[in-house]
Amino acid sequence: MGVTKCEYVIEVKDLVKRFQAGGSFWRPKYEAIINGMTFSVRKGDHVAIIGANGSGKTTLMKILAGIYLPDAGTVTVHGFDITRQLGRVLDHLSFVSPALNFLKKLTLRAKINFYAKAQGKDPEPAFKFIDEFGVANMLDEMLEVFSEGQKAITRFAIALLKQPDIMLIDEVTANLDVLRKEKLLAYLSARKDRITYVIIDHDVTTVDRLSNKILMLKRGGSVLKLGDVGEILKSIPYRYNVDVIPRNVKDKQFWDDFDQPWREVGSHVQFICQTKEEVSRIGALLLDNKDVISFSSSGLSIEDIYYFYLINEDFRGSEGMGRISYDDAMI
Amino acid sequence: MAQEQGFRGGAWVVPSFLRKVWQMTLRNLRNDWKYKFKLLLNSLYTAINLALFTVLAEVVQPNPGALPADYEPGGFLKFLFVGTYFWACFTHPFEDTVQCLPEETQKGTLGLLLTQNISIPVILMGRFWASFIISILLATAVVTPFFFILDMVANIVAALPWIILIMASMTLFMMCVSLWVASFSLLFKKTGVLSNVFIYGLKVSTGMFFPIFGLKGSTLILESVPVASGIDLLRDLFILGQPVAHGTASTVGFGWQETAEHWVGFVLQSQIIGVIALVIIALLCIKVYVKKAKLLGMIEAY
Repeated sequence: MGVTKCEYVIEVKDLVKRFQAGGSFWRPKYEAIINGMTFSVRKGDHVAIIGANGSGKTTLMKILAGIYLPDAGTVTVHGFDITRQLGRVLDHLSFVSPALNFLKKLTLRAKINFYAKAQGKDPEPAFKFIDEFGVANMLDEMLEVFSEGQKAITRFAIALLKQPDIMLIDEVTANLDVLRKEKLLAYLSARKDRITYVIIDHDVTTVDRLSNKILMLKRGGSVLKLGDVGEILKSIPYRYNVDVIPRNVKDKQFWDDFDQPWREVGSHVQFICQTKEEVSRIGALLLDNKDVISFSSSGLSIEDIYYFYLINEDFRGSEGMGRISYDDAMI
Repeated sequence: MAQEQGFRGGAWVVPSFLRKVWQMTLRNLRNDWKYKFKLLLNSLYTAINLALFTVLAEVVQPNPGALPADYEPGGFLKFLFVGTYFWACFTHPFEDTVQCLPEETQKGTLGLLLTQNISIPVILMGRFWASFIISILLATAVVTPFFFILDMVANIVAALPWIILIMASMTLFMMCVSLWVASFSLLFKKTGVLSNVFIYGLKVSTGMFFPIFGLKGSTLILESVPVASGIDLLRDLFILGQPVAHGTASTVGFGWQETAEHWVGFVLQSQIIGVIALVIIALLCIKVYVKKAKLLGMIEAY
C-alpha cells in the first residue's frame, strides 16, 4: 500500500461537476457547480479553500473524498485516479465533516473499534486521541448524548485511525470550545510534515494555523488563484486596517468624511490604510469621536483575504463596499 | 514464510472485503440489539404467521397429487409450516437490506462509511447478514416447540448436512436478490412498494401459500427459482428426512421424471445456475447504479 512517487499529492485537471437544476425527467437542465477547475497540491502544501457561496468548495471536497464522481476532467491523489482507483485513494485520505454522522445507539468505544477493525488498524491510537482530548469518560456512552464538540473530536479520532497522509477538513472546529480548538490545532499543526491538509473553514484562526496556501474559488466553480498566503497578502492593495465598532448605524457620508477607504464588515467598519501614518491619522480622529465605541488597528491577516476577495466577490459594485474596488487587486 | 505472510497481529489475515462485511454485520447486530421492541415484534410476526397458516391448513386442502403422498398425515399443515419458517428467516433480512441505504442516508451515516472505504456492497451485505442471523435465531426459537409437536426433530437431525447446504445456497440467493433490489434505492428513492412486489412475488413462487406442483404447466418456471426449489427440497427433508419424487411426467411435462434423484438433480441445478446468475446481476447493478448515483450527486441524498 505504498505511496507512488509522483510530483503532486493532489492533482485536479479541467474538473467539471454538474447537477440537475430543474427541467423534466426527459429533458433535465444541468447547472455547473464546478466548471473547468485546475490546480495541484504538492507535498508540504496545506491548502485552505476559500470562495463565495456557490463556488463549489463542498462539492470539490466531496469529489476528493469519492462521494461524487466528476462529470469531466481528472482528479488524482498520489497518482491514483479517483474514478478508477477510489479504494487506493481512500487508503491515504480521510474526510472530516460535520455532515458525516454516526449511529446514535452505539457507544464511542464500539464505534472506534468498528472503524479500526474494518480497516485492519489498531484502535489504540484513536483511544489515546480521545483520552488526550478529554472525552475518555464518554467511551461507554452512546453517541446520542454527545455534544457537537464531542462529536467533532470523535470524527477526528475516526479519521486518524487509518493514519492518512491527506486530510480533508470541512468546518469541523466550529463546534469546539476554545481550549479544545486550540489543542486540536496544535495537534494537527504538529503533524504537518506527515499530513497534507485541505481545509474549508470560515474561522480565520484555523485557516491561519493549518494552511500555507490559499485556493480561491470564483462563483461558478473555477479557480481564481492558488498561491502562498504571503504572496496573496501582497496582492491586497493595503497593508493595515483599523476596525471600528460604531455606537449606531451611520450613513455612508459619515465614513466618507474620514477621507480614507473603508468597508462595512457586519456591524463594524474597517478603514484600510497603506501606511502607518494613515493608521495614526485615523486613530487620532476616532479617539475623541463620541459615535465610536471602540477601535483597533492591525496588519494584514488571512481575514483580509476573506474580506477583500470574498466580500468583493459577493458585493462587487454594491454601495456597501464603500470605496474599496475589486479592480484594485493585483491578481 | 507463508505463515509469516498470512499471519499478522495474532490473527489470520482475512481478505479485506470479508473482514469489512463481518465488521458491518457486528455493527448492525450491536445496533439492532438496542431496539429490543423491534425484535419482539419480529418474533410475534413469525408466531402470528404460524398461527394463521395453521388455521389455513385446517380449512383448505390442495388438489390431489400436488403434494407427495408421503407427507401425510397432516401433510398440508407441515408443508405450510416449513415454508412459513423459512420465510420468517428471509423476509426481514430482505426488507432491512432494501431499506438499508435510505436509512443510513437519513441518519447521515452513509457518507462516513463511504469515506472510510466501506463500499455499498459491503454495507448491504453487512445489513443482510445481521438481519439474517437475528431472524434465523428468532424464527428457530419460535418454531422449535412445533418441530417436537409435529414429530419432525428426528428427520431434521438425520438430514442436517443437506439442510445446511441447501439453506446456505438459498441464503446466498436471497442475499443477492436483496442487494439487487436495494441497488434501485441508489437511484430511485422510496422503493418500499418495489420491495413488497419482490417479496410477495417470491413468496408466491416458493409456495408459501400453496404447493407449486399443483400449478402443472407453470411448475418448472417457478421451481427454477432457487429459493422455490430449495424450500420444496427442505420440506422433504424436514417432513420425511429424505427427498421424494415430485410431480409426474404428464402434469409437469418437459421430460420430467418422477424420481427423487431427478428432483434433487433439478434442485441442485437451479441452485447453482440461479445463485451464479443473481451474483452477476446484483454486483453489476450495484456497480452501475453506484457510478450513476455518484455522478448525479444522489448517493448520500434521500
